[in-house]
Amino acid sequence: MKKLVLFFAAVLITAVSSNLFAQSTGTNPAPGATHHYSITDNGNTMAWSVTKGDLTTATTDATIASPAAAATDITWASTVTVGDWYYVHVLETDANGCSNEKVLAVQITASPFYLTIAAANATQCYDGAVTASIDAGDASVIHYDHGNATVEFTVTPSGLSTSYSGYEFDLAIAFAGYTGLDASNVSFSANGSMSGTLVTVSDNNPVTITYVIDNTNDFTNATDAAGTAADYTATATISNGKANNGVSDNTTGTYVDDTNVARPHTTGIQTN
Amino acid sequence: MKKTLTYLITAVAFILVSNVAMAQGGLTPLVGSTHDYTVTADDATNNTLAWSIVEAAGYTINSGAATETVNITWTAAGTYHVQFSETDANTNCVTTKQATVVVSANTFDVSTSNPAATCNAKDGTVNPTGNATTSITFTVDMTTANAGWSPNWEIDFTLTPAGTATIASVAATNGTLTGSGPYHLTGITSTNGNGTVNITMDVTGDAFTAQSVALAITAAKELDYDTPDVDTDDWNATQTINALPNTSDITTD
Repeated sequence: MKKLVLFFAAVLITAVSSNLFAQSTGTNPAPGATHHYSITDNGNTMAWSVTKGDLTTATTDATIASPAAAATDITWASTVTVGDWYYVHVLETDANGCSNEKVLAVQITASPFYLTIAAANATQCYDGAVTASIDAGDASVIHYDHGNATVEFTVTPSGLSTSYSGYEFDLAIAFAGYTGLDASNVSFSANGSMSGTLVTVSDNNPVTITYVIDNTNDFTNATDAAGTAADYTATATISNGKANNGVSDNTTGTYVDDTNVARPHTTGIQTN
Repeated sequence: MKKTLTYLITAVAFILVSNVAMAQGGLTPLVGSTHDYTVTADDATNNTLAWSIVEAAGYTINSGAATETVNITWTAAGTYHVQFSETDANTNCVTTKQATVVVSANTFDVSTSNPAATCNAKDGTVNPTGNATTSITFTVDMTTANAGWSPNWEIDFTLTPAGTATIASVAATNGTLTGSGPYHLTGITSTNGNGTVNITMDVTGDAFTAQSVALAITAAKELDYDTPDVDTDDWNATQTINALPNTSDITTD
């Protein structure tokens, strides 16, 4: 009998997508990206230009900031197609009218940049004990003030270009219809700041967002018999992420997360 | 014996071997030109033939003073009287013939000048590197200042590249070029007293280093009477080939 030898090939395929650690670069820019291009300054006349697909076809897909300088920023339109080839030309002409031309091949790459938001805690208690007080007019009514809950989220960038610093995004917080919350007290780690709904981060590191949410509702034994009235869910949503050099979020990240704020559901004191 | 006086009639044909335009012929030569003057003697074998010039100087009698054809180079402007005499061997009877030669200042002039500087041939290419071969042209002009005299002419010249450049494919648009440095270009034509020839060559050298080639004419003459160039102060030209800027590669982030 023929011995059947079964070969089990244990294959471990490790797919390391180059895009996992890729970044938008001057030779592989993402749509919307700005990158810096330069040659040695010999004191001659310079002229930068960009052609598409070959060395002669003009294009408006690239905006050259300083076409007559030895170094310039070039901004690639957000409408360029991933995989298309472009050619960056520089023509150097000296005082004798003799010239030299250098060309750099550029291929558009997909944006590797995305943001991920994560709540520090899925469930969170209030910062301190509930404050109970006696109603001024009716000694039998107890008022409960729950105070602040500090809710923290962290936004983490991925795929930023190492030659550029910073990114931004829009930030919103919502409470699924729960009213009476004051969420105006929001602060950031040292690298973050907000103007309107736009958060600006000054480096390529994660940014921490801290909400100190004040529950301004006033509960009584009657309105919160079950002890659940102070519970709510704070949901943070980020959008329109963009790196500082113009690269847009490629929407493969995580843009919503929430924290459930609650206390122990202590009922009212029962008695016979 | 009855002595017969024989009147010798020397048939003299004062033939000038200058067979082109009479304007610059042997009777009106230019300073520096060389001409033959010839007669047909009555008895060249036995009689005594003698050429002479009345004026004391301003010429060089090269050869043939005692033959039917004398070769003379004129060295100074002026009016000269060329004489030929034939003496009968038996009777010592002499016949003399004379011609007036008016020598005028040389108007034959060959000249060249610096062509405009040009960029290295790799100008206009993308990412040029290394050596490039650039074609250059020198122009050499000739004038006789006489629209009626258009001789062929010739020059000898050298080409010297500067630095590490090399020259190849030297050619001329007129005449026959020989030699491989020094060069000899002969049989260059002319019309209405003017002639021109373009000398072309390929110069190979580093695209980012300035190159130059020096043309030096070492001899020039017209071929009718061997009149040399009236001056030599316009016998040199230099073609400059400008280097390209040594542009660095584009770097980016």
